[in-house]
Amino acid sequence: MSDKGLPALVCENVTMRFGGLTAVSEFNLVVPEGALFGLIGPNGAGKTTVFNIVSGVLHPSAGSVKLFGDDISGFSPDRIAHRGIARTFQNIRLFRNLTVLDNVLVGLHVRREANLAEALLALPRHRAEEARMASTATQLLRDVGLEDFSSYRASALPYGQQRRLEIARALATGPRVLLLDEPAAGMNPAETEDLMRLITDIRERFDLTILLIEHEMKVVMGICERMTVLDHGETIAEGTPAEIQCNERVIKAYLGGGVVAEN
Amino acid sequence: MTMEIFLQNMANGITLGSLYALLAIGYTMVYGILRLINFAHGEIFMISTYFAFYGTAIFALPWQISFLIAIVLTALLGVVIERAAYRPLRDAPRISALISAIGVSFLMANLGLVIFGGRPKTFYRPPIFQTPIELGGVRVVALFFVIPALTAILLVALNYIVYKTKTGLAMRAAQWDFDTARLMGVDVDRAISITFAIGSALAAVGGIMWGLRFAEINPNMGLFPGLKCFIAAVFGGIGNISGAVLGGFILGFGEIMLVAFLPGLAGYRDAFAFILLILILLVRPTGLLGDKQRVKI
Repeated sequence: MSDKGLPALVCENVTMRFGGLTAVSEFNLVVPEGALFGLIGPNGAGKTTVFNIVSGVLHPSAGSVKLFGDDISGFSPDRIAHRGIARTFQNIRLFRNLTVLDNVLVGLHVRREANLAEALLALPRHRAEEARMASTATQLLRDVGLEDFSSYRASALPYGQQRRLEIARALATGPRVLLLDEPAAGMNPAETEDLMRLITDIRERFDLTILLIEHEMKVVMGICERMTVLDHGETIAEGTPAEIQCNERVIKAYLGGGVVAEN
Repeated sequence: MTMEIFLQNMANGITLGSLYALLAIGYTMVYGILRLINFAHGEIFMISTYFAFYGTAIFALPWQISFLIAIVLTALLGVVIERAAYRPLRDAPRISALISAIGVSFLMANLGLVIFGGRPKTFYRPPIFQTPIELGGVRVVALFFVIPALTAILLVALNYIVYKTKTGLAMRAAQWDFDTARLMGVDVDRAISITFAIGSALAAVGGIMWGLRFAEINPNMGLFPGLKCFIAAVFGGIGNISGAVLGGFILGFGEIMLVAFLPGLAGYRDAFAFILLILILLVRPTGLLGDKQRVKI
């Protein structure tokens, strides 16, 4: 691809104000292609706001977001999805009224051009495409271990599997950059282990760049190569897991000022 | 009551039920995706009959073409109304869009009075629909078969669109959650426009068949069918397409049978629908086939 060498995702001086509150201030981020990058910070630090800006849910008050060099700030979420950014949510947001398979199919339709008239008139072509998509969807469900549940309503899945379905749905849109918002939240240790394997596995298989928000330090420190730490909307540190673990500002942010003061 | 009259009433019930069902679908589909009662739907239905009327009466088009154009124009009208009156209020409190809908309804009914004139017009009825058909000793005109048959075909097509196509899937995804649907690449505005186009096109088919059935059209004709079909949609469980069809048939049948069996109550014919609405709201507020109440976040 021509844009090889460009970073997958760049945030330049991104600022987000809600009235008088600055949720994210002068945020800078460079995620190289193929990286598994962490975004951490205490509650309310602005991590999910960053995700909302990158995925187009929010438009930044200032600054820009670039995907492989193209400025995408201000694009609508569906256009950004077409450009190749997909995400999951901190609070699971599946289409609970649809089946597991249909949830994945919604994502797959991004990569399809056949329109309603064709669906109604050009039956053979439409059918062939439908069949192809159904098999792709089934494959994606197999990748995340949900192939036996494809006809279930999404709302009927247990919690951990709903998280996996969100990942499958995001993958279905054919992303180049995947944003995972606390994928391990509410998982038990065994599920968390599985999830870590799944994340590193899909990165290889789908040639993805992954940006990950996570509170579970075992996950972040275990699989991320680099990470950025946010606190009160400000970037307080960036580096490898080892560097972050002994960064004083980070420890202060997480544990409160007193601990550092005593040292 | 003789068998013959009973069968005639059956035919009337099925026909009226079909027309109500076609109109009720529009209410339920729009509610499903926008959580909005589109009070202008009855007027969309009314205007469709005038499109068809002018096509044949003024432009002297063959009725097939005139009816087809009327359906297309009505679908466009629905899309334009959504763009102009509802989309700007998408993020406003829901009551604002509801008031806007009532405003559009009044506006169109009154524009109709000004433009079309208050005097009823005679709808052109192609002779083919008046062909007498004899069945089991009863003579009815072909229209009594055409209306239910066409309704059935449209219901199958609608079901196909909603449950088997990309567009339908996008509509169902948007129905659950706009934001997430957008993030999955669904163009929600387009899904909403298509919903209005389909609902309005079905109203146009209903309107044209209404004209063929009752022969007379006027600018206020949208009011009662509109209200009744809104009730039919609520009765069946608003947001649910099968529910709207069921509600439409129950209402149409109920109305005809009430008059047939209790002629003394014929004057309360229109009240029947409202009594039904009060009963269902008391007993089962989510309607016959309605889901449990869920809050859209």
